[in-house]
Amino acid sequence: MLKRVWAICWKDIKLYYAKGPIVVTGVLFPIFLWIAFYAGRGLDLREGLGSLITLTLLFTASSVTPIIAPWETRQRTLEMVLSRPITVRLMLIGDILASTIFGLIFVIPLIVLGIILNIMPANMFLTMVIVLLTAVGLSSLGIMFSALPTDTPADAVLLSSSIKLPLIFVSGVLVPITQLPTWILPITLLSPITYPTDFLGLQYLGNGFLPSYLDLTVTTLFTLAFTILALKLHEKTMLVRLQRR
Amino acid sequence: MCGGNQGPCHEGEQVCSRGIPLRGLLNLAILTLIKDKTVYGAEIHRVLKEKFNVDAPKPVIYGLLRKMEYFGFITSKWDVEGGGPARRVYKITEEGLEYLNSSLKSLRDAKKVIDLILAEDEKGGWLMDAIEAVDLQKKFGNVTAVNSVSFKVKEGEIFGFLGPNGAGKTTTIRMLTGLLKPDRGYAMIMGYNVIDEPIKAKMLVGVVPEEANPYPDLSSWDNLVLVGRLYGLSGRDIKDRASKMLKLLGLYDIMDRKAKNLSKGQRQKLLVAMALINNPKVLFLDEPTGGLDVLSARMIRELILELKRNGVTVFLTTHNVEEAGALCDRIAIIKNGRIVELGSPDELKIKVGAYTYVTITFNRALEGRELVFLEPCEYKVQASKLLIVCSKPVEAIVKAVEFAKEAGLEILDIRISSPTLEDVFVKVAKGE
Repeated sequence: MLKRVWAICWKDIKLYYAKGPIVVTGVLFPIFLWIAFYAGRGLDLREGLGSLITLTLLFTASSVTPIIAPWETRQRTLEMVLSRPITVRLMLIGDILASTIFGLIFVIPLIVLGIILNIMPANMFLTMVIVLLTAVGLSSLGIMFSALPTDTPADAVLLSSSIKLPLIFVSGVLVPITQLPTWILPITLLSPITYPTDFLGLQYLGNGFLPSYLDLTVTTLFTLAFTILALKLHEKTMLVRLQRR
Repeated sequence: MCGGNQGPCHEGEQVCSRGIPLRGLLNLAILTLIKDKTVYGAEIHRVLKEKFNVDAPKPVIYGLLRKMEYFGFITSKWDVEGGGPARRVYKITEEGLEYLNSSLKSLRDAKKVIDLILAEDEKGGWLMDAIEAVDLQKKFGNVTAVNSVSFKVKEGEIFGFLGPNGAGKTTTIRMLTGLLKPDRGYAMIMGYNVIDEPIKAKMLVGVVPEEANPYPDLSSWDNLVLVGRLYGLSGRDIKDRASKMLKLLGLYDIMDRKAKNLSKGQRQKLLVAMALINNPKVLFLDEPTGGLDVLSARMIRELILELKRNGVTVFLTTHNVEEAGALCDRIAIIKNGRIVELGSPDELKIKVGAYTYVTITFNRALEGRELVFLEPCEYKVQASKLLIVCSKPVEAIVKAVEFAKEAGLEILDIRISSPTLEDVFVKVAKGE
């Protein structure tokens, strides 16, 4: 089973992640967005490292997963894979694994940079736990977007972007939660990246909007929910996707 | 392939020269092991040698598949190792071995075992059906693409599946390979239900789908590595088999070329290589020679025949009717989602009543002559040639010879064209 998951993971890394444009997008976009909001206000790295980590995860861990299924449907490689001894579920776990690895590859250097600059989280272990959970959760979120039985990657990207981009502004990533208008708070609490952002803020700055146990619990629940939903949705729509071809 | 033996097998499995898996003769092997130095074992060994050309079977582990009722006296001594009701694999326990040892007290017992096994062999009972489709049905909206399709394919058979476009061939293959779930019915591959045990079924299967591609941005080698890993092969096995497949199919020198830069024929060969990398027991080929040049198509056909010689079961769909006739042991013709004819190519020609063409060349033109003697056969006159379409060519020729004598004509040439499978197919497709 693990061999099959790894086969898909290896394939995704080779085909989708080890590509210049993806790497540039994963690195440059969040950094420049972060710079625009933080450096422009004269804030230093310590104040924004947690947000930068979350932002980077959002743009790396969920950047490619929305397009894999539609793209492979169009290329007619999906049928080639599914006619081998692998289930839809294992295939998707492989996709999630590749995306998680990709996200971690860009986030770990940020954490290491922080350590070098003496910006340490209060609890490194829990920090890594929430980073890992968030990476898996956002990867699964991307997989959920690709469950649309379409062979047009742009359809999934449109759906993904229209949900991800607003999340940046309501989750405390660029604007602290305490500075957001009160009416946005319900949306803030529904956002899956509010909790890792808040937890990392607590770890690096010592202050957070919510208790750390709540941040961890909700992040875990979101991750589980997205993963289960992603697998279920794809199992439901995969046959429709194949029948259309 | 198992070292030194013919036929496909799993690790540790032996086959006899007829390609019958020894798992079907498992008891014989175990009994021979146990009784090797006794007269009973010698008797069984003699039968093995004479009837099945098996020399000194090596120690085997697994029990008899599906036919345990014939050896009821030892069923209690077997642990079920795995498999569903249709395919139960048993492993004999130590207690079972002792029991066998003590239960074969006489030559009569050994003879009983031999008779049972020979009787089963006569019936072909030891051969599990490689593919079994039972009442398969699939609808897409209001359209019934496949309607109550049932058939069995024996191990080592090349089974053709012909039909006009939209008849349901690809939908049937997709159900057999687990890509589509049937709305009704089920499919078994080597005893495994494709829907309930998809991984086990697919492990034994290689597929060249019609509407599927290798990853265009991966090289041939990487595509093979990917598929090898999906089959759970070790790194060394993948390397060995990938190299072997690429050399066999003439792709070794271009193994690093991306699949998108291969020609259509090369891509098709790569798909075949990917289907064979796991040494499948059952191979599904959906239009494998479609769009290929003559040489490549011939190479694929020769490969299919070689696979058959090695005991691989091949399920082939093709639009090339003559190719099906040349390769297939049996052919099913599907039309509007139903199997309308099934049989060997020769059986179909006789059954469907396809006609023979007789061309007789005379020394003078025949225009204006009355040829009523040929009725009810259809005929056509072209100058001095008479073309007769009939189901009884000898009768027609005799009548034509008599006519020639009476008319003072000389027969210069007589040619008989046997009905082709294409004639059969066209007749069936048109609903004649």
